[in-house]
Amino acid sequence: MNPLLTVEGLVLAIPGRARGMALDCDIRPGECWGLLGPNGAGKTTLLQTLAGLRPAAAGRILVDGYDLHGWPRRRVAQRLGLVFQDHHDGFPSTVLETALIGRHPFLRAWDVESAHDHELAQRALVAMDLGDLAQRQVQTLSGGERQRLAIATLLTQDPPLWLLDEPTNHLDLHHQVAVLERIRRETRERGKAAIMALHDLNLAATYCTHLVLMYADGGLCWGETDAVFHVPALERLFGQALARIDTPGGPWVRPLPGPGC
Amino acid sequence: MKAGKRAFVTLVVLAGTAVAAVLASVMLGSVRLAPAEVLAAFFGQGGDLARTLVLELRLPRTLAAFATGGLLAIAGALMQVLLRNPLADPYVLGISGGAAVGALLAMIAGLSLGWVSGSAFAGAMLSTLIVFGLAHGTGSWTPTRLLLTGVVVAAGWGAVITFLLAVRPSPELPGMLYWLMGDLSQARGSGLPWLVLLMVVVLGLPLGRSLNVLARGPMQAAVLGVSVYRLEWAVYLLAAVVTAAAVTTAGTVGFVGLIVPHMLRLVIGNDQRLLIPAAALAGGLLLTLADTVARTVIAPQQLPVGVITAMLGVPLFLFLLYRSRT
Repeated sequence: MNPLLTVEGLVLAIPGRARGMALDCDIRPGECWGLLGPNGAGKTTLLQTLAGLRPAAAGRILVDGYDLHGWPRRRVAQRLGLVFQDHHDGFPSTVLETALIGRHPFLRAWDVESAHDHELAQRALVAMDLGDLAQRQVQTLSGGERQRLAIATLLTQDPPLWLLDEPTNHLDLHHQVAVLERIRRETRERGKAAIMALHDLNLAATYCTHLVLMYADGGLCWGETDAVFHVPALERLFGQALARIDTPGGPWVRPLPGPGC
Repeated sequence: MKAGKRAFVTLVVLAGTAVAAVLASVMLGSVRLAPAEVLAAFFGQGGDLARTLVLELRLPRTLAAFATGGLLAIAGALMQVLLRNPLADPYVLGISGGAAVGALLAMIAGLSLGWVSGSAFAGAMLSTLIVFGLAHGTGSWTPTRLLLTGVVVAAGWGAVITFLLAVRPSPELPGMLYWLMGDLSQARGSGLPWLVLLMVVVLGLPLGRSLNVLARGPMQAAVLGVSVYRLEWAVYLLAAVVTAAAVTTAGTVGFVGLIVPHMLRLVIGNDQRLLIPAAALAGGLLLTLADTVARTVIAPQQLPVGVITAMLGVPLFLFLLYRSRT
């Protein structure tokens, strides 16, 4: 299958830091990539660079085989979506209106959202357990509800490539699993691809087909989850001692007191 | 659809109220006219006095007030989206001041109305570039930094105006002073403000949804397919044109751009496709009423309308500033 996204020699531009390693990878339909790394390693910068929001120091990003650079934003938005880590709601707006902006890339200037667009937004809200809150003001939502709304906006947009910056932020355990299950289903059954920054190693090991380890010094290590999810590498990644637990679903890790090796 | 119907009702109610306000404004004054007399004058009938009062004196002024109010309200709404800050207003940010200096320079040079408008636009654009350029800096716009820059630039323009008036005293000085405070007594029937108002309302419809997305932040807007850079420049330009048209007509009337979008958002939300036409109507309505008060409350003396809008706007501004403390 042709890759949705091809990253060729991508070096991130992070102010105040020496050039890191270059990233080369193909992301194909059905794959779910997890970005792991300590705070400040560049997970957010990578996601925003892949979305074309930041210039890279070097390298190329190809979407469907074409260089992303120079695409009109509207065309980019039809191919990929990004859920940010923080959400800014400057002005009053309802939950439904916020989900509906996901349809923006598919509407022309004079178009008004149709009944179909409303249905897509409403369905996304229901999928994120927000169906009953459609008319609520965004400012009145809790942190977790606001996070689910951001994911509902992405579901409404429904692009082939999903970028998510800590999608499980603020979510309770049930909704963390529900969101990740949804992402897994979308990639497996509908041919989507996802790249997400995560902090929970065990959730990453469970749900991601591939992992990118992003070291604080700019070093990178990537590959299929089975190949990359190794205790010594993870200990070095976070500077944290870890113990491996073997579960029927694969290996898990548990933090131990003390720094990593 | 439900939202569409509500938007229609909102606009119809506002338009009806606006027509009533225009009618009332034309009726009231040193000589009170009955509605029947006003309507008769509209159709070229009735007494000479009533016809002169309505068609030559009151109606042109009322229409100028209406257009100015609509323009200022839209300028405020556009700047608020651009800066994601409900305190943005062409007067507070010094854009009106820049336009006033431009217009005043052209007037002192004895240029025609077209040049005065063009010069006002140049002043508004220059002021926009200064304020937004400085306040933006390398980081993002913080409300305090932006407001401070705007207030200082506005004070600077005020000093330039005082200087210009001092070195170039003219018999029209009192009139100019009034004009600078925001005054419609000199405003006479010119189609320009109406033309600009119509243009911005029509442009606002296709731009509206993009502005809605932009109101959620430039990054979010870019991810959803908005060419943020292009749109922001278009809005800068539009806001400067609109402000210049308003200032050319009525001087620096303050706070309409603050009051009207704020009140409207409380009632109809923040969909720019509805907010912009609604701001045109509500801004027009507000300034028509304010000007009617300004010319009748201490008759036969007249107040500049800017005094009335400031009396409404200053407390609201302070309230919003107080509430935005975190």
